[in-house]
Amino acid sequence: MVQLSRSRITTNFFMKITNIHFDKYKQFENLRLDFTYPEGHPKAGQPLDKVCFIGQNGTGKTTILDALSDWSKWFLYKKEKEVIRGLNNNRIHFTNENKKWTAEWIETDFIDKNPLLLYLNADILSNILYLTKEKKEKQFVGTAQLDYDIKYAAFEQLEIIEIDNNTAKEQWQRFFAAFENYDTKVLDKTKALLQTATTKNGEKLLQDFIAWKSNEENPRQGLAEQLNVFLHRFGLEMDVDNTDFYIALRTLNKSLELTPNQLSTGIIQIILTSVPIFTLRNNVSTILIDEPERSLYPDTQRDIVNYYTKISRTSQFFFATHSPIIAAAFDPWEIVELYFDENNTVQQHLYYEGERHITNYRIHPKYLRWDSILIRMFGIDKEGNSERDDALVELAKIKERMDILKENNGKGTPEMQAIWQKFSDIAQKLDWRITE
Amino acid sequence: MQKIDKTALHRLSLDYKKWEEDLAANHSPHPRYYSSNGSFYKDIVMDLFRCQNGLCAYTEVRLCAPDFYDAKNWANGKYSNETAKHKGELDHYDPDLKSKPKKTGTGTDWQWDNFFMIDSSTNRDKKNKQVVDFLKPDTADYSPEKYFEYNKTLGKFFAKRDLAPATKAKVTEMLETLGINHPTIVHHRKSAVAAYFEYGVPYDEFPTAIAFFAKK
Repeated sequence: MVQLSRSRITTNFFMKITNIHFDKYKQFENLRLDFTYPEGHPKAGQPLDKVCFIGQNGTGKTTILDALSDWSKWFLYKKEKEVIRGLNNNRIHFTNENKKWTAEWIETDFIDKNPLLLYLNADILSNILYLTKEKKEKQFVGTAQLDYDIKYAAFEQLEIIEIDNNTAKEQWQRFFAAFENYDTKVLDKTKALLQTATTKNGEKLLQDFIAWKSNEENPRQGLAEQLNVFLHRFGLEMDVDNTDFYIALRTLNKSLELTPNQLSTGIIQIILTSVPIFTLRNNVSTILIDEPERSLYPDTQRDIVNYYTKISRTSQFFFATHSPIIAAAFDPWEIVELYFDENNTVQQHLYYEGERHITNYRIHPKYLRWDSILIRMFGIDKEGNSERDDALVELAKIKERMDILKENNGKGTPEMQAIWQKFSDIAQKLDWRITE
Repeated sequence: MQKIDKTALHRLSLDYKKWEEDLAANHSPHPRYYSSNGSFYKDIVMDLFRCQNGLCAYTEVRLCAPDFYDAKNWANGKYSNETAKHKGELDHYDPDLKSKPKKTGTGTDWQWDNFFMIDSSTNRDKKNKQVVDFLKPDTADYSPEKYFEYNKTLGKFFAKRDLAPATKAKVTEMLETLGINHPTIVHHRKSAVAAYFEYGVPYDEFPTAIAFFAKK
């Protein structure tokens, strides 16, 4: 049985998840996870804006993301008030602490326009094909839009965005709807220009067209402002005037245009995850992102969590990761570390002692070195390989010899210099990380 | 980051010197810079090491043994030791002086004043980041005491406390750009400083940190 709670946190009817309780569900047994800010925090008791799941393979990070997604589906589709049957006949039960929180209310206020949940799972990379526009016959005259609009309207009823193989096409059409509309307008204007232009009025019509285009808001611009934060570090930027593709990039010096199939996996990963979040940026969504570190170099990983959360400041984010660099972006109350106990059941490694108060937390990811995060949060129990341990012991012995020599008036002697040279050689191999 | 004297006093690669001065005098375009591909590359590198005492211009880590930049290695205005080794990279202090991509002749790619030999990890981080002129280590009125202070507990340099806020911010930014507080450098520097003061081992790296440390 899974229990989840959502809370109403302002006068607006939007909700964020405050806790989840697995009574008995897959690998979980009586596991209760608290997603609220702890006591002592200015937002104590309110739902966390972002959460990060970490833990050994099989501890259930992705299972929780899946559960949140599954729960939301049943929450919407079944529309029963309190008890809802979940997938595989698992009973999904909502705690109903807030009596105002009913199915009626959900239907009228929730389904209206706000997507409930966006799940960017591990298969997102397979969606690269949707960055390329479908070749439509007679697209130039702008008639292909009709079919698309119907799908868009149908999609509005559906408030869970899980980009799987069956739904991907519709989802991406939605994400790129504004681009498509803009591109169609440009095409129609171009067509009108070509049809009415004569040798006499051609120049004026062209000027009118340019003036129209500069006044028309280009929907790619907003996305470009976000994406360029990362693209600039790769010497790239989004080409907002290229309407042949939904997303086209070019080098910063504008000398080379890059289409989606020419991009690196990491850049595609950033684009494919940014676009849906950007589209939903003004909604209050639950956004689930599995393995945000995929294909990203460490320095890019370092900034990716803040990048996502800044795109949509109103949403609640759930990440699952294996990367210490990703984990370093979170406060300790935002981390859910799962582990197998001696009975092989999954438990949460609590980072606080006693009362759940900000002063009682003893692990602070934002303050730790990367290797300390591995040791304290990811179950690595050594600084490095055994070769490093051996070299550190050797170095300690050399240091001891230097100290003895120093006590025996050996400071600055050729013997001291020779011993230091040995010390220096080994220390260099150890990246000089021998003292703090 | 110690002050560097790049004037004629240290220079022995006279063929390169004449070539570069002629380009300037005639306002001739520079060939595009490709690392280690120019005919004067080694002449420049080794002359720079003479000026920099074999140390990285910014971090002061040792990049080249003194024997390789000794005057004996030059003949007829050219560096002639085929076996010379070093672990530095040639940096354009101001990246904007290089030619723009695909536009050869738009920069002074081989300008002596703009070159320094630096540590490879620093070069990787510095890339094409913007720099300020007043921290160029061969500038006439530059001195490390003017802009930096050294915290011996952390082994790090900081912008001097009494600088004007805007200058202080620039100095702080440049400390990062120039890799002066790169973690590897910090640990190495702390050990080397300790070796000198605690064990009397003569230093051949980090002269600025040791001078600052000694003052305290």
